[in-house]
Amino acid sequence: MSVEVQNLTRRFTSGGTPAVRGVSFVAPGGAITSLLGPSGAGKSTLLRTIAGLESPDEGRVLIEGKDCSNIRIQERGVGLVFQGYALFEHMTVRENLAFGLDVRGHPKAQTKARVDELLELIQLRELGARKPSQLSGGQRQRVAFARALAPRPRVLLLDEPFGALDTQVRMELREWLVRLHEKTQLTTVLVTHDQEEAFEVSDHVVVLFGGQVAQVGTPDETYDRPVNRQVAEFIGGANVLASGTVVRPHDVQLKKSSESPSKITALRRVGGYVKLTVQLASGERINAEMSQTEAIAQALSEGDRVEVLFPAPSANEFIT
Amino acid sequence: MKKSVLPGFGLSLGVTGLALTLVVLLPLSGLLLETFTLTWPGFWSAVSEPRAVASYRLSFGAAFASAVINGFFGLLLAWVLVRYRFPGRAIVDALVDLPFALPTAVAGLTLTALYAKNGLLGQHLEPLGIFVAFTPVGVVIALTFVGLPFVVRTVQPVLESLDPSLEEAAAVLGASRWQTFRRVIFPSLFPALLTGITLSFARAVGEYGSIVFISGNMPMRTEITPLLIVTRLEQYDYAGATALAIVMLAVSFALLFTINVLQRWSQPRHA
Repeated sequence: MSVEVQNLTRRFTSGGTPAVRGVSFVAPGGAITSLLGPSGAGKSTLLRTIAGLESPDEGRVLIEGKDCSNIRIQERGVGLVFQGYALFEHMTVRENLAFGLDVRGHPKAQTKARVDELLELIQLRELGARKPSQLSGGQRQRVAFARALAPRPRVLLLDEPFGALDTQVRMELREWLVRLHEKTQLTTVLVTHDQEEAFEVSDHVVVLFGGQVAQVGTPDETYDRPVNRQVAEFIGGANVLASGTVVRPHDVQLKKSSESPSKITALRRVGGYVKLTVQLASGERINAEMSQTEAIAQALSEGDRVEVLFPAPSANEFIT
Repeated sequence: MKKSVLPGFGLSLGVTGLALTLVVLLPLSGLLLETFTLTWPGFWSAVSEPRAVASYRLSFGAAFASAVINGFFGLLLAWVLVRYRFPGRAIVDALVDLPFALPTAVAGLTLTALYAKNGLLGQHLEPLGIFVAFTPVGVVIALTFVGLPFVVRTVQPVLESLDPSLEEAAAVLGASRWQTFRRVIFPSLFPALLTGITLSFARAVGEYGSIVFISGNMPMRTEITPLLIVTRLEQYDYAGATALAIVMLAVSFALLFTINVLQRWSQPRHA
């Protein structure tokens, strides 16, 4: 049940800059593929085009190898989860879940059984009679997931599904999504601007910039071997030195030394670790990270001169 | 009561109460006092004579019919104004408010001229056996004209603020356009629509200016209650006039109160 996007272009104003330009990628069947990029990269437009909510100006979408250009939204067999939940507020949770089955004319008894099953899946068995406005953000998003799954779609599309939730709930739901996916093995396309989220849940990552694909690969590949400076900087906030060397902030080692030409220009503690900005002799500024314990051991503070050690060259990559 | 950043509950309630008393309660009490000059049998015969009963039927029947018509066309008009961009949209949008501003007597005169036997529309309708001017149909048309803006202006903002992703979600879940409208959009609009219909109905019950011209004011046939009240006044029958007014008041209040309750019940409940 793979999803294939071929050479897709979508313009919102005729003659204007396309929101998506010549994008091609494959989301393999049974896997979670993330569309990762900053806002305005065209991620949501791509997802909406797969769902059929936008029609491409050029190119096409194939689901299971079948061209979807002439298949109506209703018949595509996709489930879509919106960032803002888009639950039907005037219906109860049960009615929301049953909607996709009712409109297709499924027998009542069958629908009831499916709704029970879904309530079990999202662990909201007791709350079926509630209205969405009586649920917490995390609960509402789980209802939105279950509603999308109800008609047994072939593909699940998630548009920044955790974007509106607070950090702790987001973490929980991410883990829940991974477990859900293990159970259902449903082909899933996830749109996110959060690289941590993409890496944690997905098997494949499509990195997008300015409506174009920058890199396609596994999370490790895009992290370890970014194809260009943009990808390197966006994913993991890597330093790209003038020489083309990519250095991750946590790979930078600092040693206090009054002789050194390099100096700490900023130091900020973030919980268990410390984020530093270091100005090198060349004038370049790089980001570094170390544990709070290490920063205390060295008694580092802003304005200190430090020797900067980069890891062995084998661990670095070079971008030309 | 919970503490608010804007205090002054006592003061604002006091001022509101005073204003309400002066503007609404005082005239209504005057009305009641005037009817007290009647005996019970006198009151009863004044409000239950056949001519009065016929006028209630027309007043409330025509108001109800026009409110229903406005509910339908007002919703359609609001939909067209919100959902489509077409040349002249701003003009149509402005036209909607015209019945608010136009003296209703002018509307009545215009409609009468239009639908009279020799009028622009009337001359073509009469050969077909459709009589509008000086019939209850004319009354309904005039009331529809006056009440239309209420429905459009109450539904429009709600429709504008409706999240487009709700419709998208419905379509992706397999709902046809009609199912999406009936099961997702309409229930969200219903409370606002009901408010609009209620306002339009209330306006129609109280309408006088336009009806005087188009109805022809024939007792038993095309005479509305407000007109009968004026007739009674002209005959110096003040008590009889106020008795009719009391009936209108009671029925209107009962109807509006019922609709308000219905509305509260139809709105999504919040935690």
